[in-house]
Amino acid sequence: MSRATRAAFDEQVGRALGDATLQEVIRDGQDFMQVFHEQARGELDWPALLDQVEAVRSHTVENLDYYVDQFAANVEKRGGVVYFAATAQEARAHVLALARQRSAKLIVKAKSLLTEEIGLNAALEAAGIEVVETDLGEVIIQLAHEKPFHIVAPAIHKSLEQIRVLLSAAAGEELPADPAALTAFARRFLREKFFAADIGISGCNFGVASTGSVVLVTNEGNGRMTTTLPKTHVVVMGMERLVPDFESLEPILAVLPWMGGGTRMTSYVTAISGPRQAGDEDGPEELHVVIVDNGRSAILGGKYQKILNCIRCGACLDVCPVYRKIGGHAYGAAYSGPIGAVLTPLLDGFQHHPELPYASSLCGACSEICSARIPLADYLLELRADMVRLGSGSGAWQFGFRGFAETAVRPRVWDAAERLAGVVARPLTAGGAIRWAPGLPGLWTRTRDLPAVARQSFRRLWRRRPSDARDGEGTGGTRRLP
Amino acid sequence: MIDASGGPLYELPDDAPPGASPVGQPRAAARDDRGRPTTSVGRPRAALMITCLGDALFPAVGLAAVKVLEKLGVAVDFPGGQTCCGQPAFNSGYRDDARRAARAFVRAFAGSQSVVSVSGSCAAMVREHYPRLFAGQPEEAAATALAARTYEFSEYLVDVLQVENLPVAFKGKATMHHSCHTLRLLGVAEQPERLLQMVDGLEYVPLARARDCCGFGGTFAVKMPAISTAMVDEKVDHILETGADVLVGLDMSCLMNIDGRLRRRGCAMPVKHLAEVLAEGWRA
Amino acid sequence: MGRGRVERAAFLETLRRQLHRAPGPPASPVPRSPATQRTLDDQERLALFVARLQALGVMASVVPALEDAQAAIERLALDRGWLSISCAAPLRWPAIADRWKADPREAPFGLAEAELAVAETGTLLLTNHGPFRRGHSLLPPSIGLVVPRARIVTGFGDALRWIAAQGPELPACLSFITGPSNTADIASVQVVGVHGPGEVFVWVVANDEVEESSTDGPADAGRA
Repeated sequence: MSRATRAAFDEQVGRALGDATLQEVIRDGQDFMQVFHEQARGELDWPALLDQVEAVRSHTVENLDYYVDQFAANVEKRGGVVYFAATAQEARAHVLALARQRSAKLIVKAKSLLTEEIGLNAALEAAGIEVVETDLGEVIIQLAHEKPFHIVAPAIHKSLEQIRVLLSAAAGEELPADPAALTAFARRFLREKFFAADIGISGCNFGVASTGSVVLVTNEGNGRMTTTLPKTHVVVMGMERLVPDFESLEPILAVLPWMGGGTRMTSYVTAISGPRQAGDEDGPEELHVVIVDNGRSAILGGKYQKILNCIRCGACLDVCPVYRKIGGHAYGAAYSGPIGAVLTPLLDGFQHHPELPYASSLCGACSEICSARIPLADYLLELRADMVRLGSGSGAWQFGFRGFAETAVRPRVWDAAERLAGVVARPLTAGGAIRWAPGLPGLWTRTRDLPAVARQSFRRLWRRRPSDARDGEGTGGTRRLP
Repeated sequence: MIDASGGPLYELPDDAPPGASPVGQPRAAARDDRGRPTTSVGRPRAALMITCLGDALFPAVGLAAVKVLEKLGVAVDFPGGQTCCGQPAFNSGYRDDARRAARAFVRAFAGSQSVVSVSGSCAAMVREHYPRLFAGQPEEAAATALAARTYEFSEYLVDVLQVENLPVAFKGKATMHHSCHTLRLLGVAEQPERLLQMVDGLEYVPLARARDCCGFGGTFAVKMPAISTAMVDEKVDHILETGADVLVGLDMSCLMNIDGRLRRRGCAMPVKHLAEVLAEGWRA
Repeated sequence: MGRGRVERAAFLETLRRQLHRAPGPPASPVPRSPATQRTLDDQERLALFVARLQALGVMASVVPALEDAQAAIERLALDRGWLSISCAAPLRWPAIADRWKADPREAPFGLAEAELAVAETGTLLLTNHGPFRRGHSLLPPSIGLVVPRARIVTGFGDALRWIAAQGPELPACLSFITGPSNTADIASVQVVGVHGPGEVFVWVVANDEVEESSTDGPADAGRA
C-alpha cells in the first residue's frame, strides 16, 4: 500500500471512528434498513426474485454491445441525440459543449452518482455555469462541499442541526430545526431554480433498450421536475445501466424500492422516451443521452463482469460491518461500501486505491444480501490476489508468507517454529495472556490481549497419548447410527 | 479457552509419567498383525483438523473435541502432517503460498474418512476455496474429495453423527457468537444451538446482532487494527448485554479476538469453544 | 456528425471485442420471470388497491361515477379556497369553467386521469402527451387522480406488460405515481411533499369508463 494513500485512508477512518454521533447515525441507518430487508424477505419470494434480477442483468451485460446499440438507435428514433463517451473526460466534454451551445447559465441536476464519478459538476462550474443539485441529500452535501456518504442517502451522516446550519446559510436567515420546515425551504428555493434552468441533467436508473426509454426511480419529485421543466434534458448514464425491455424491469422494481428505500414502490417511476412530441404541451424540447464507458468495458469479458450487474440499491452498504464503522467518505470515491471497494479499483486502477480491497473482514454479508447476486466477497479476495500478482504486496508480507509456506510444508519445522514462538512469548506472558508484543503482533496488543502460547502444542500432546487410548469406545450420548 | 485461574485446561504437568493421557480412557483393543489397533466395522472414523491456532494456542479445544468425539464412539485420528490450511495467505492474496500449504494439507488428510475441524473458517477454507484454488491443478480431484468430507465440529455432531442428546451439564447462561464463515459459507447456524439446548441446566441467551462480524478477518485485524477494534468493541457490548456467564463459539480466531478484547476491557467472562463446554460438562 | 458515427462504431466494437461476441442479437432469449404474484378477483383487487393507497397517506375513495369525483373536487375547492384547478382540457367540466387553467404552474390543485392502476403497490400510471401534461400531476401541491375500476391490475408486472404491449409508439413520458412525494434525507425523518405534490387524492370510478381520452391501445392488455 502506498504510504500516501494509506495515510489519507487512516485519517478518514480515524475521524469517523472518533465521531460518536456519526457512529450512532450510521448504526441507526443500518439497523433501520435491516428491518426493511426482513420485511421484504417475509413478503416476497426473495430468492426467486434475486435469481430473476441476476438473470436479467447478467443477460444484458453479456450482450451489452447489442443492447447499447439498440438503446441508442431507439433513443434517436424518438428524436433524442446520443453521445458515446469512452472516458470521463469525453463525457464532460460532450456536456460542456452542449451547455456552451445552448448558452446555459443555470443547470439543475437530479441525483446521479455517475456525474459524481466523472467529476461533471466541477467541470461545468469551472466554465462559469451555475450547477444546482436538487435531490435534497445532494443539496446538503453540495452546500457542505462534501462527497456522498452513501450511494442512496448521500447526506445520511449529517445531523439535523448540521443541515439546519447549511440550509440557513443558503436561505440567508435562521431556519428552524424542523425537518418539515427545512424541506419546505428547499422546495421554495429549488422551485425557482427548476423554472429558471436552461438544462436539466439526470442520471438513468435503467435504459430500456427495446424502446429507447430512460427510466428514473425516485421519491422526491425533483427527478420529474429536472426532466420536465428545462428545455433541454441531458441524461448521463453508465453504459451497463440497461434492460432489454419493459417486462424485464419487473423483478428489479420489485427489489430496488425495498432495498433502496424500504418501500414496496418508490413515489415515482418515470419512463422518458425521447423529447416532447408534436402536440405535447410540456416536456423538454431536446433530449441528449451521454452513454459512458469510463473503465467499464475493461471489466467486460473478465472475471469481474458480474460487478456490472449492480442496480445501485445500497443494500451492501447497509449490512457491511466495516461501513458501519467507517462510513462512506473513507472509501474516497463516488461509490462506497462493498460495491465501492470492488468497483472503484476496477474503474480507476488498483494503484490509486490499494486499501479498498483490504478494508474488509471478508464476512460475506455483502454477497449474501446483494440484489443482483454479485459475489462481492469473492471479488474482494480476487482483487487482493490480483494486487499481489501485480507486485503491490509489500516486501515484508511477501517474505512473511513465503516463510509461512516453507514452514507449512514441513511439519517438523512447523513444530520447531511453534516451540520457538513459545520461547519468545514466554517473557511477554503474564496471567496466561500477552499484553504487549513488538512488531506486527504489537498492532494487535495495542487494543487486545493475546493468549499465551501453549506450553505443549496439540500435536505434542497427541503424540504422548498411549496408542491404545486412541480407540476408546463411546461412553455416552445417544446418536442415530447411519 | 482460558479459565479463571489463568492457566490452560487439560495441560499435563511436566512431571506426568510417560503414557499418561489427558483424555479418553485406556482400553485394551484388538490389534492387527503389525500391532496396530483395529476397530470394529461401522464405527465412524474422524481425523481431527486442529488448525494452526488450535495447535499452538488452544490445544485444550482440540483435546476437548477429541474427548467428545470419542465419548460418542468416534475413532479419532490426528494426521501429524497437518500444519495450516493456508487461509491467512489466501485471504491476503498470496495464492501461490496458500496453495503450497494447502497441497501439504490435502496430502496430510488423504487417508482420512471424515475430517472434523474445530474452526468453522478453516473447514470453510477447505470446502469453499480448495476446489477453486486447485482448479486445473493435479491435486484438483484430491482437494475436491477432501472438501466433500470436511466438517465443522458442531455440524459433524448434528448432521453426521446425528446426536440427539448429550449427558452434559452446565449451570448458567450461555450466549453464542456465530462466526461469519461458519454461518455464511458453511450454512451452520442451528447445529450449535441445538447442541447447546441439549445441555442440562444451560440457559441459552441469544446474542443481539449475532450475525455481525467480530472484526477478526485474519490479517485484517492487524492491517486495519482501528476498524477491527471498533468492530470487536460492538460485539463485546452486545455480549455483555446478554448477562451471560459464558460466551460460546465455533471458531478459535473469533474467540481469540473477542476474548482478547474482553480481557483488555477488564471483563472476566469466560470464552469457550463449544467442544470445551461439552467436554467439561460431560457426566461420567 | 461523421465523428459521432466513428465514436459509436469504435465504442460498440470495444464492447464486442471484450465480450468475444459476434455482431448480432443475443444467443439466448431474455430471461423471463415466471408469474409469482397472487391471483385476485375484482373485489379483492379493489380492496387491496384502496388499502395500499390509504397506507401511503393517499385520500382514496370509490365513487359510482366520474361526476361524483368532480363534485368532490368542487367541494374541496370551496373548502380550501382554491382559485384555480388545472387539468387537461378534455378533463374539464362546466362547474369549474371559471377557474380552470391548462397551466399547472401556479395552480393549487391538478387533476389527471390514470391509464392503469396497480393494486399491489397502490400505484397509478399516467400517460403524458398532448394536453395531458406532466405538470398536472407534478407541480400543484395537491393533486387528484381518477382511474376506472376496470383498469386496476394486480401487480406492477402487469403494468409493465401493458406498456410493452403498446408497441414501439410510446408517449414521451409515462409517469407511475405511488403516493405523495417524500424524503427522509434530513436526519432520516420522513417528510411528505418535497418537490412533487404532498397531498394526493384518488377516485376509483366504479361504474363508468372515464370520458373518452386520446389513449390508444388494447384495453385488456396487462390485466390480471
